Amino acid sequence: MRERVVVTTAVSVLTVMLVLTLTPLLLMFYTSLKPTGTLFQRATEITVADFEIGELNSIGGPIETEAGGTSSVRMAFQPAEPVPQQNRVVAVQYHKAGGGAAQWQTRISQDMRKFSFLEFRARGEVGGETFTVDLVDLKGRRTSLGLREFSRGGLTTQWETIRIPIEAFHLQVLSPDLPERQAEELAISFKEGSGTIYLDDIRLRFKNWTVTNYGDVLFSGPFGRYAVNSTVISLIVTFGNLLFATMVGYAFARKDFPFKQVMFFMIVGSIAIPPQVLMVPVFILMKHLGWLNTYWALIVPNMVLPFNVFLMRQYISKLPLAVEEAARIDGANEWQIFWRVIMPLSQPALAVAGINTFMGSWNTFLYPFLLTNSVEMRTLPVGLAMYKSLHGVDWVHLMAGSAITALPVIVVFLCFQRHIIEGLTRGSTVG
Amino acid sequence: MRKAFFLFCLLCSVFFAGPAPRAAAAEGTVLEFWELAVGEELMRSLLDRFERQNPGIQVRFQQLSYDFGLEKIITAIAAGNPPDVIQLGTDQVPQFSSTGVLQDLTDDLAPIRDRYLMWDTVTYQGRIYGMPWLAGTRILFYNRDLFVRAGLHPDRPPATWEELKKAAEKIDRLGPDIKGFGIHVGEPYSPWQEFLPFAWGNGAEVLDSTWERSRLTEPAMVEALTFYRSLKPFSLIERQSQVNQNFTEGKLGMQISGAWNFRGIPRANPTLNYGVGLCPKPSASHGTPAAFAGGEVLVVSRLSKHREAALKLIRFLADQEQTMTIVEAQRNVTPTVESAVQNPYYQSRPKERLFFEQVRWAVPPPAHPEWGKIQERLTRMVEEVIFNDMEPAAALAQAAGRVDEILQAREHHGRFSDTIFFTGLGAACAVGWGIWAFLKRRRNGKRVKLPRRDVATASVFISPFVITFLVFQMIPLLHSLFLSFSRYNLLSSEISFVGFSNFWEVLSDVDFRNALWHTLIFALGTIPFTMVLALFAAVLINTKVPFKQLYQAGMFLPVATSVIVIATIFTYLYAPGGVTNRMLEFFHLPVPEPSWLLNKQLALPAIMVMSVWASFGYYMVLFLAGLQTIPIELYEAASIDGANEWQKFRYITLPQLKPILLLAVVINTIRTLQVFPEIFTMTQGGPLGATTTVVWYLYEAGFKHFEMGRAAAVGYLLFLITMILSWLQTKLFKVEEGS
Repeated sequence: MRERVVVTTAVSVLTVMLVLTLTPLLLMFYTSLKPTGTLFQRATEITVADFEIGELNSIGGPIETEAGGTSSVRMAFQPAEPVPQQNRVVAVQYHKAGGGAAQWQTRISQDMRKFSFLEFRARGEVGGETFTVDLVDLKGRRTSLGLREFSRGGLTTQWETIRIPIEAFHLQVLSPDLPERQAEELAISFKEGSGTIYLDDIRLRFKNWTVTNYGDVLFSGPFGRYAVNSTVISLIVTFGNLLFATMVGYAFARKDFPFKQVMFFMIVGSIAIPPQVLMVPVFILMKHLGWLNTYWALIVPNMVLPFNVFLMRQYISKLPLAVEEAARIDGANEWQIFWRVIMPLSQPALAVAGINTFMGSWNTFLYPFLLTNSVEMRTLPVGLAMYKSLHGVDWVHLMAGSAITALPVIVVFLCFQRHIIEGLTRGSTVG
Repeated sequence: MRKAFFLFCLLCSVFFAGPAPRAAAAEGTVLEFWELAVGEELMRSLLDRFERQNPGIQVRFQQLSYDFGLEKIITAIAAGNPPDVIQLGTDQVPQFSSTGVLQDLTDDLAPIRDRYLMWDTVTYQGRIYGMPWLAGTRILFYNRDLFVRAGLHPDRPPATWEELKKAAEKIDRLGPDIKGFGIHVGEPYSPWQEFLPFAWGNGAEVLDSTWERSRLTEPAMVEALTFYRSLKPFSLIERQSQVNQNFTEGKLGMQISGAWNFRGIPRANPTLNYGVGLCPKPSASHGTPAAFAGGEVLVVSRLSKHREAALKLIRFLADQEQTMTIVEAQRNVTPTVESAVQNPYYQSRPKERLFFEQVRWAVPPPAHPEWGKIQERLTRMVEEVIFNDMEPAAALAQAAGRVDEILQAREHHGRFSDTIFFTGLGAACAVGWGIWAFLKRRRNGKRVKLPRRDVATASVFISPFVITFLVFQMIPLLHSLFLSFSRYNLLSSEISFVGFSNFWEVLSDVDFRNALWHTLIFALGTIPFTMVLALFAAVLINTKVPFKQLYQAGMFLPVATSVIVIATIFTYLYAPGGVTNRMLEFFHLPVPEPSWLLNKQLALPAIMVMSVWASFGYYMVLFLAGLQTIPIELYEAASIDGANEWQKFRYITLPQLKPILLLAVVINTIRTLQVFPEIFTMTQGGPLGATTTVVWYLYEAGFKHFEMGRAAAVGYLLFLITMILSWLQTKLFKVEEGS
């Protein structure tokens, strides 16, 4: 009964702690799946044009009319006076004859995968299929929808809100060589005939959720290459440390050699050296070695980290001597003792050291930043930092990039942690 | 296991074989070009164009950013390996040109001088060291809707100080969430960049023409700062990016800001009804509409072997065709080519065209090599007035004192006797310690003769470590020690021996003592919380709770996340409209003003909370590993003796956990003493130096003021403090164990 109370209390306290711990990270994932906005202030729509201001009334630039041949398109704002509070609309008068163009266009420059609907208010004195709504990319490729396809009755003399699902367009035709479906312009093109239509409040409505941010980050920048670099470097550094740090830790724990104390003192001391002090000397050193912008510079100096040596030495010196002695009596040589006895016995410490090293190596920023100078050699955090300072507070993409950077470490930890538990139980039974 | 090792070796060899040194370009010139502002894709396309036009020249291009790029450029120069062409910000030109690392381009650029603007920004002592490329001046943005609502004319932006103040006052009355004007604080540059133009417009100057004294206490300067302060009651006091955002959202009447708004506003709020005007001048009859002259310039490093090719490249990039490509793609800069004003792009955009008008009145900061340090004093001065309500005259007098100190900084030559004395003392200590250790070992008698087999094995086992440790830790460490006794300008590579004067200087610097104090607060404030929280969680997880792994993994997640990410998330949590303030509002608690990271009292605690959050999971896992090695029999025996949970914890868990607890405390101490990336990302040492820690101080000394010697000295002091603290902790734990 008492135990149950203890467990229940523990569970509830732990759950509160867990929730508090995870909230900021969940916010990161939440934001990374949103089409736009900041962490909390999320835009649900974007106003393409509401015609309140004469010169700057659309996302990308002014609204223009275009006519060819004997066709004509004119637009007029009603009411004409530019009074800020007044709700102005635009009247587009068109006359289309023969082969020339007759259209009305505005720049939008948006990735259409982020939107669910295109919305506008309209009225007109014409029926039938008299115009199409087009999305046009940079190279002029377009996808059109006729009036009949999105509004069954056509326009009437009453104001109506018309909603076009973005999926109704053939988005594949827009920028087919890019991952995004970039629409540069929104246009209204007129068929034969003439008339007047009135438009107001053209809006694009965002989807609720989207994974496009991840695609943008991965494919629009060299994040794939960054990820490969980070993986290669972190794995080699981690395995190198597991082997070499254990070797050194073993020597320190079990062997006696000259200057042992002094060296151990220096190892412990070097953990405390602020890395900033070594920045310039290390850079100059790497230059002399000709290792700038190579994997060597990022891997070799970290192959045996003092902290891991310290950790392994502490752990190994706690191991019972009996097993080693037994192996020695059985005729095992030094390497066999190390490889067959010490390594397996040290598994719990190895797991801790391994994860520690992997994470440190994966997340490290200062040296990869200083010692590399090309896209091919950058690691994820460096790439992320570049992305951050180039894209300001573009939260959704930044969070997607962060998630990409953070996820591998999370996965590795989740895999390793079973080994920790297992190693610990085995270690304790041996003890 | 053996297979795995073999595979690992194989992998190693494959990857090391991978990045083979690139074959040097057989023919033609290869130019190395580093750039900070424009962006990778666009730059590459321009450079491709250049390479097509100049078949013999190939450009190797590297995109950096203002946040991190400078450091990299400086280290490359220090290592004697700079790129041929570098793009710098205008503020960095004096520092670089004064140290002689740039090529003098006066004669080469003479033929095109009248076709470009902004030559002041690249001139140092009468010589030209760079090509003005993209101008980034500031202009007055105003919200026309708010002007109409406040009864002001929507087409008449304020032209004088008085009008500006009146307009701000009227707009501020429109509502609680609407502010009249935006004052920039909490950043290294934007506060002085916004304030100084008011002073320049009023005829004031920061330095006199001989650069021997500051002119900060003169009446014109006091008048400008007094006026600037008078805007405070009607202003949003925030970082520049937040001011921009509020303006974009229509919650701010006026701001002085750059062309990047032309890109940001249409994206986020395309229907915002705004206009632009020249910066206001003191009065209709007096002064100028001065603005800050910022922007990007192109320079050629002195060590470049391809001068002609480099000149070709900078002239190509500064050409109207290229700059207009950048302007059209980015909309956040203005070309320095005067003829660009005739470009159709500007013909249809009157607001952006006004920038050409403003550029004529733009004033670059004084081209003093120590401007980097002087500007810090100016930012501090503005923040003292805005945050601390200091009297303008007093703040200016204080700043003037510090600036004069910087101007008159004399060359220190350390006394040799000092150095010899201390070095001798150090050597004597080391020798003494060696003898003592030797004798002690002798006396112990047991291990006088080391088993030879042991020594042989050990030397094999430790050799990989010894080699890397010596090469990558000890040599740089000694190099750095050498630097700490010298004055070493990173840029000019001039080294002079100064003995201990770096150390004395640092120890007598008020800023350093504050930094030390902040670091200690940070350590003492976070370590206990981190430890208690970690231990608490570990002990709870170690009871028989279900889903142990879930809790364990969940609480560890922040540790696995990059500090850059965490700092970014928390920056938003602490923002004025962020979740922290919303929660406070929800519970009807007072919301701090100014907001967390801009608040002198709260900024450091806010970062401390984040730090505890981000690190306790690590120690929790350490403790869990420790807890599971405690023999369960101990608890069983205690239960039989009738011990309660607390007693078990107090008398079994804690003592058994002592070694790992010690380890955790030592690690945590070292890490907190080195706190830096958080500060770098979130506050840059501000507001008013409230988050300046020792490592931030070090970073500023080394990579902002280029005083590597002083930076190295700070590093060694920090090292010493860490060692002492760790040693103390070990002693403390031992004493307790003994009792």
